[in-house]
Amino acid sequence: MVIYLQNPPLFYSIDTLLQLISMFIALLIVGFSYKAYRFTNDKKYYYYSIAFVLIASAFFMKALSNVVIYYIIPSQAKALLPIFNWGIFAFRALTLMAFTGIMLMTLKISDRKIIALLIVFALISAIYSRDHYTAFYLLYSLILSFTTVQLYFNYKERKSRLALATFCIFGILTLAQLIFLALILDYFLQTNLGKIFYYIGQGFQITSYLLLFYVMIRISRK
Amino acid sequence: MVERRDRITIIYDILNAIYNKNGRIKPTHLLYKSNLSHISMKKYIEELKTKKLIDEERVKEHLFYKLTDDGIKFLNDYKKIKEFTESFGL
Repeated sequence: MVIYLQNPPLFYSIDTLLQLISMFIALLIVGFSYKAYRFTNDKKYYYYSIAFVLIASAFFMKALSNVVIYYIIPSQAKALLPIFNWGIFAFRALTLMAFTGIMLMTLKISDRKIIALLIVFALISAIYSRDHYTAFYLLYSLILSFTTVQLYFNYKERKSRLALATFCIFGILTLAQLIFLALILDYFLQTNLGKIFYYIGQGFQITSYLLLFYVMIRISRK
Repeated sequence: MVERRDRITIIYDILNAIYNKNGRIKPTHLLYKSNLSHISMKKYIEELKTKKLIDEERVKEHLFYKLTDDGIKFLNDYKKIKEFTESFGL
């Protein structure tokens, strides 16, 4: 069963803007992390920058899908719907791959067999999540939860404000995905709370990216 | 367990030792502060001089190592990367 849960129409332009802001912030981390790789020659920074390239690409694809459905589809009708669907699929696949990579690096998993296994799982889930809204948000929340817990331990060890902020970023992002996941309840229960859930979820998501921006500014000014 | 320092951390420790002595240090002090063998320190000093991160200065027969502008930039960049690494738990 394919369920299309789409955002409120009036929110498309704001949504697109939020995707582009998030994309810009992700690209900032790409730049910083790549610079760190060039400086230290440590591959972990290179992989981290790749993960954020995937995140930036995911936001670009999502923004592109929004533009297609909001500005073009009303006039071109069904002809462009596959582009929208593939855009959403690319967003989900890239997001899952990126955050799987970030989780692997944060948890410091170095066993190549485990890394390969988790990447294969993420790929299969990404393909499966194309038509299953819940599968994507469930897996995404799960990956983020593991990363958040690890970042909490990191904060306990470092006791720094920026480590706390980074823990909060991933915590808020996890909450955002859980709220998006709760949208499915609205579909079945017909509570009409879907729009509110959507706005709150988007609010949480952009808050986490703005906090990420703040952390990067603080680091750059050190 | 004592953690082994990587190359870049050793370079940072050497430059930071010079920085903490107001940007100028005697070789004997640097040897003590950097926690390296004499042979290792000589190798690192040569590398840092080649990369223009430090410079030599002679004051009344005494040799000093001096931090250059590039050396200060290296220290600042390293601190930012360290902060990034620690904040993101990498």
